[in-house]
Amino acid sequence: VIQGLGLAMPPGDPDELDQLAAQLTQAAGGMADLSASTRSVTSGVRDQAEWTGEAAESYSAFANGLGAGIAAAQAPLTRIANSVNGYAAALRQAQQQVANANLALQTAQDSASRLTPDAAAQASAANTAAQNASGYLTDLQAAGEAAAATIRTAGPELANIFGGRGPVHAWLTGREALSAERAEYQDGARLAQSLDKTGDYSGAAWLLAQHAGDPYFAAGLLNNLNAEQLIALMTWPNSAFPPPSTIDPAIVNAMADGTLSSAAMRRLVTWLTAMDANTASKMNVLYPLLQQIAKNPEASARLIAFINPAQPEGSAEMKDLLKIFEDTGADTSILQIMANAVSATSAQQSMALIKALVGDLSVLDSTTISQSSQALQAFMKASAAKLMPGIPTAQDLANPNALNDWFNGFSDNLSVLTPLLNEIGAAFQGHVDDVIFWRGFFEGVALSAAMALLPVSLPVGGAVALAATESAFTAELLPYLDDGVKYLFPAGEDGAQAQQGYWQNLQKIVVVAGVVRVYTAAGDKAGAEQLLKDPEFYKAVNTWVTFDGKRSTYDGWLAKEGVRLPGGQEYPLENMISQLADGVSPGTFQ
Amino acid sequence: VGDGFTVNPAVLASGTEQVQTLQDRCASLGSSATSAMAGMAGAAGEGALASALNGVAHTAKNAFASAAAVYEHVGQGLAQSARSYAAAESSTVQRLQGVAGRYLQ
Repeated sequence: VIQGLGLAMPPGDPDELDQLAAQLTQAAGGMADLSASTRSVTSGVRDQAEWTGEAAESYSAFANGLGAGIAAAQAPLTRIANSVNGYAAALRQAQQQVANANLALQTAQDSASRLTPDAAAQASAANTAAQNASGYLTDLQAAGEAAAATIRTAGPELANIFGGRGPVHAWLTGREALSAERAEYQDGARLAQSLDKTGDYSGAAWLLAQHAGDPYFAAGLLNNLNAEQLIALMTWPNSAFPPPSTIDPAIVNAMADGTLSSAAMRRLVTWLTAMDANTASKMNVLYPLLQQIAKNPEASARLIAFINPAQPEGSAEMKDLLKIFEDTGADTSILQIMANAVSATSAQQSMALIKALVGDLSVLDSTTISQSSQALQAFMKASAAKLMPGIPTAQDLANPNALNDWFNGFSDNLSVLTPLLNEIGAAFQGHVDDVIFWRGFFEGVALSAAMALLPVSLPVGGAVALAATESAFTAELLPYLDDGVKYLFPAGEDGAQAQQGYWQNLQKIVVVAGVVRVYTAAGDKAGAEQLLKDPEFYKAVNTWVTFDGKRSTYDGWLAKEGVRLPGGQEYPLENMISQLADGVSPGTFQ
Repeated sequence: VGDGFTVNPAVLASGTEQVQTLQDRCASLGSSATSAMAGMAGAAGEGALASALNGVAHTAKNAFASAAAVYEHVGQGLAQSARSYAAAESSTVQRLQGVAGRYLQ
């Protein structure tokens, strides 16, 4: 009996599968080569650049993680290719057996129809071939399932080639989180659209406060509000339900993150700087917001950069902000925001910004200045730090005028602060506490100069270095500082003598502190202790120190004369060395 | 930027191009691998196997996209480091100005 209509040919193209498996095998091998190249190239760049330190170590760790991840792709890709090769072989055999069986069936059917003598034998052969083919088809199904199972295990390996830890994994995880946050932007945008329909901002304010840590949600909302809506949101009454708490952190985070659009920033700045009939009533909203911005250096920098006080329109807006601050009392957030912005500005752009801000500060009256000492000094210190020129190199110092040029450049740069210093000096003249407070600023400038300059520039430890620095300091920086500080020493009484003594004392401390700093850099306490025991160091310092033409020890001189400086007696050598070696800045340096 | 007082910014900058070349190689290998897997799914004929191949092709595509992003990050990091080192007159100056800045602030 001849049964059936033949076997169904199993689908698939084994030759194409083999060809594609070969392509995949080649790609897998390429991953191994690429991994080796990645390690070689990235380490070669570091070595050739002579790059060392923490940043270089981080780079190497990241690059090694990348190389390892690429290498990790080889095994699963190879396994997929091998599995497919195996399945292709099974498919090829099965297809061949099915073809054989179907041919045998056809032959048997022909013999039977012609009643040939071998019909029974053909029928038997056809049955045998069909049974064989069925066995291969069963094997093929098993091969397919096995290959599929193997390939499924390769999936998680490929998805996790960069491992479950390490810097690359951490970076990729953060990147995915960023994408998720961007979806939050759309949520914020949809919330903004809903406000058109409801006109009730209490829910939006509540949601924004809840998303304070999500700059994308805040940006999605704020970027899609018009000016009227923005004001409504910011001034929505606190009595509303649910209570909105504060939306300021969300606004500030978005500002700091740079996710607020230019249009949104423009609407916000226009509202902040508007002097109108509602100015007084909006103070309870404006103050907390400015305070939040002042606590966030990035937000401060972005706000001032957006206002751009170097341009006339920006300058006018800065003055408006300062006038609001002046008219409404003691809040000095805007000054802290300015100081933050100066600190965050690049060296190339800082001069223009400081000059513009100093000009804008001219709108303040003396009463306001006298109420704002600490905030003004924070701005001045941030500015002075930015105005210091680049330290001269060893090659520069081959020029005998290099030190003088450096001090001269610093003095020239500092002169941009002179208009403000004059106003401050006039405001504080005669007030002893204020005079002492402001002397600390000049002391800080001078100390910072010595700290920055001496460690890299000079052959240290000898009287030559001390004298060279003293000479340049006296010739170049002192006149500028003297111009600024003269307001702080009242005329008459012993004003002139006080000035002279102040500078002489400060000068010696500045130079010695600079030398001490050399030995205590990077918390080198052992080096500092060694310095304390080094008679040559004391000899050099004490040879240089003279007072009233009489030789004295530095500490002896300081004990007698340091009182002329605010906190000056805190600068004995041993004290300075031990504090600096412990990484603690002597208090009066700050 | 950290330490590394003698670092050569030009070498770091050239590293960006070399990493870009590696990234291109990775993209090429990724394209070859994923197209092979997608082609296999079509040529396999068998349902479970084709489904598995389609799934792993999708996973591989994502993995290679991540690898490309990591290469790009390394290249950009090198370029950024090169710019930072080049911007300072020397990294020593930069560090010491930072020291000075702390004393003023």
